[in-house]
Amino acid sequence: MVKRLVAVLICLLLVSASVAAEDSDKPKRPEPVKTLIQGDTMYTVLEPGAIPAIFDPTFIPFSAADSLYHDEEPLLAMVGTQESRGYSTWHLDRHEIVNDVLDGRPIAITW
Amino acid sequence: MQDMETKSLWSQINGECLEGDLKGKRLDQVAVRHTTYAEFKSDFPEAVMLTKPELGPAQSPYQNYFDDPSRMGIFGRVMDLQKLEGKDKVFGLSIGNQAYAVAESYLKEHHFATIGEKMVVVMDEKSGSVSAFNLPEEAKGEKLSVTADGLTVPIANVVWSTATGAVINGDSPALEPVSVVTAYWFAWFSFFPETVLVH
Repeated sequence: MVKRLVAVLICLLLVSASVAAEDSDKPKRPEPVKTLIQGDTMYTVLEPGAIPAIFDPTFIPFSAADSLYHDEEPLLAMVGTQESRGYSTWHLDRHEIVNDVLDGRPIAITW
Repeated sequence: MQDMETKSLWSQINGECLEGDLKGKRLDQVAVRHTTYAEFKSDFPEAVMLTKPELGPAQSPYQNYFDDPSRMGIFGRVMDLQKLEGKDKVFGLSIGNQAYAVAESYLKEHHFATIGEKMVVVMDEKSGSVSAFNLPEEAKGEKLSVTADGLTVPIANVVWSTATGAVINGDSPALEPVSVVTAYWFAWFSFFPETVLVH
């Protein structure tokens, strides 16, 4: 179970980068580096940070966002008690994680 | 995921730290809604949006991967998927150590599924977004239905918004949102082979 968990963890973490590489003319990346996690093999296919995380997100009202978002653009929506925020998954395809704070609580939005 | 301070590795599926100084710790999962820009703007007009550099094309950069049912993960998957196709979408959550998943196809037909009489996974008819909520006492064990008005307990004459859990009619607290993971079946099943599937 852990073996499959680890393999799929890497798949989930890196599938978007992998697909992007396959779909573009980028040079081939190095062979995956194998390490063990809890006795099972983990495949590292990208250097840490190769998919740039968002550390200092900036937010805009809908009046400004209308020119940057399609109506049908899929979002992850966080609805708090004091504030609500939306994150485009098409944009997150290239970043995969946003370090943010909602209602004073640190959160990680992951995709 | 990797935290920058200790370089520990964390699972996105359940928030568990798998390796590193923080191994064994677990992040609290919070409820998130999958919706669209237009729906979110309509439901929460005071919300704000993560900025991005440009409008961009009207699709994901990885649309080819999403559209291809044979592509599962980076290395591909060879596994007995049992009840669903690998790229079928499910909505997963856990109660204690028991994992549950509700197939998107089931929600499109039935609109909601109760999980262990404690939770409900519901699809908003208007937007197709899926949310999960804890059920209040007056709803546990009672017949539920989803109408154009919302999630209803007819016997108690209570109606909640399927999008937000807010009370639309009746004397009841708002539904408490719980975290539900949107995943491909092959991924959820890999993590939770003992999952109870509603399909």
